Amino acid sequence: MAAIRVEQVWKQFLLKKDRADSVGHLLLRMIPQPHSKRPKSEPFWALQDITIDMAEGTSFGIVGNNGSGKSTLLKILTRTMTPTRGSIQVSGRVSALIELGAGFHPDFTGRENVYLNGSILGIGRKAIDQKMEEIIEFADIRPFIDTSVKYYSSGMQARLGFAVATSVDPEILIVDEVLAVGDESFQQRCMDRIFAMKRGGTNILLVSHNLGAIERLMDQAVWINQGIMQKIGNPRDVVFAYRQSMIDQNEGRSQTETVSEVAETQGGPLELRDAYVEVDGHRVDSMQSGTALDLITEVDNVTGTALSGHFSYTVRRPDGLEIVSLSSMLDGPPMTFQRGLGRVVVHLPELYLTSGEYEVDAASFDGNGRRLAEWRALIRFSVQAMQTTPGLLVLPHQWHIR
Amino acid sequence: MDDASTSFLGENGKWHRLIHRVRGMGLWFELTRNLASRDVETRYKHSLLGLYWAIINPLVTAAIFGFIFGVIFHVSTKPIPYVVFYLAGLTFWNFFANGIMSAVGSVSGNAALLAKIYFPRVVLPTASILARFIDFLFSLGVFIIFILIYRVLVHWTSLWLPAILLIQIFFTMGIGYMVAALNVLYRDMTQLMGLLLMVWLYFSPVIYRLSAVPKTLQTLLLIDPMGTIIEMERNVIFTGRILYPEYLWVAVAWTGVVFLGGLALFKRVEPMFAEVM
Repeated sequence: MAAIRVEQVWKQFLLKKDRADSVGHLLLRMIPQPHSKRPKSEPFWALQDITIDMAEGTSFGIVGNNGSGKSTLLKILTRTMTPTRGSIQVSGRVSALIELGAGFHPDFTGRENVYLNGSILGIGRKAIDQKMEEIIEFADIRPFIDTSVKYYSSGMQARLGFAVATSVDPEILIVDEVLAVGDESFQQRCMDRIFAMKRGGTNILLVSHNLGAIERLMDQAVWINQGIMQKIGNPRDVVFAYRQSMIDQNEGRSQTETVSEVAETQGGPLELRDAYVEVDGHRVDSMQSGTALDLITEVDNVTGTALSGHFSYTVRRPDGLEIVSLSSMLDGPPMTFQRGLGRVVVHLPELYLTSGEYEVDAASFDGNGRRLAEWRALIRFSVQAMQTTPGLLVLPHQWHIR
Repeated sequence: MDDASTSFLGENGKWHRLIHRVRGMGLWFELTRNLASRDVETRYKHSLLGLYWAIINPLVTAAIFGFIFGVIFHVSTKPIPYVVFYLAGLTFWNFFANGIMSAVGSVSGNAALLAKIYFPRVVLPTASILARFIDFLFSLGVFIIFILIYRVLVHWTSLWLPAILLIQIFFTMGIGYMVAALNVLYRDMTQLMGLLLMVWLYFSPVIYRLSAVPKTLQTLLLIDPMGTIIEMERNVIFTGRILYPEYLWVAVAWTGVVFLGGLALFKRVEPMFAEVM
């Protein structure tokens, strides 16, 4: 039996430009007007033919760019919206972490709001009474539970909202990127709790931009782009496809930017032909953290004679933070570039980067160290690490107690 | 969600579904009650005179009408004292008017709640009318105190009051559902209702007696169910007999039509709430 079944759901929004939003406006519109003057309604399909089958006891991740229709889908699943076409079936009590603290009344105390929120989520007073201690404990607001919610910080409100929504023993938990609130330790506790619930058999539907979490923790995933399902299935494949598309998008965008820079350097003695990353002799765009790789640039020595010079690579994050610089100048005497086509290869036996996108800048120098050419963001690749950790590197390590 | 969770077949499934339904209804009732008490509490929590506003309002209005009609225009309300007469009409009328006015914004004012999760949206206007019923009980208390002060004779037929009130409540809810749903689409419904209720007040026998009106006009006024209801409420308290019993059925029919119509309209507009807000 499926916990959630979405069958060929389409959702259309009418961007009605002439919708009367007041009775006065409505009366005004009754005055006849030339037909052409009226702004027309534009239909907009937010979701197109979405079909998802989420089996009982499983978890499901949804990824996609902003505006891709993820939230619309969630609204349909929480039944705050109805689909234009198609049908949904949700079996079991739903709790949603969508707008934490929404529905809290500022003038009421935390405790009163817990009862109110509980009854909105379909839980009676008695059941809440039993859970009250646990909720206060988890939200960590014991001294303030009998204070008006309007005096709470946004973090406290979010914690209380999370605590209530997860304490009502839902059969299906819908989570929409809410874990961005609260400090890191609370986020960690939220994640722990969600996955404790998952182990306990609660169905989890997670929308997140934290691709690592979806990849590691979900049983299945779907990637939605502009309302259309792009890929559904194994989260690793889905996330990989999604990442790949983001890289492609970025490339399309930056090509125009880099043209001028490349143009400047054209006419140098070494002309750029191609640049890429190889793992085990295969050209790749994405790799596991820690694997051996080669950074390869194909250049054409157009001077007609052999040329001695240097080459450098800088691996950096797209935001500009430089992680490692490799320059043949620091490593030894000049290299010799033979006439015609040649490959500049630097081999890195291990590169323990954290998950993310990276860019490689390259530059060529003559034998005296004078810069001949420079290429920004010459190579782009992405890295997937098993663990998502803060910092730049995921280093192999072992723990001991001595 | 209750319907979908029961895909068992046969008799067992039917019972299961029924139990589910009933339990679900109980929960929605509790939600209605919680929302209503939230409404009542917020109204009085941070105001200086607290719950007394529910009492002061009809008192001041009754005093004004008593002064204008009794002292200036010499309209007789005998044998009932001015204050008690006006208080009677206004206590019942205010329950109706305040119920409508708080129902009108009950859905549009709770956008945050609507975005959160599904619950039957009808709960919102129902809760706000229920909250005004609590206010009504307090002003009813004041009304009773005034009856005692002026030693007005009250008839046993007053025991019929709850039944007439029930008709009034259903009528109020019907109108309340309508305007609450329409206010989501057209935000000036609030202003429109404010105006409409003022007109309605003067065209109902609230601050005057039906018998003081020319015969031809009486029929017209009695077709308005609120007119009939208020007149009946006063009748059972003060005279002990309903003057126009045949119009009771008109009022009941109106109430049925308005309640079901209001509910149907609300249900029809309900799917648009999330999109418009």
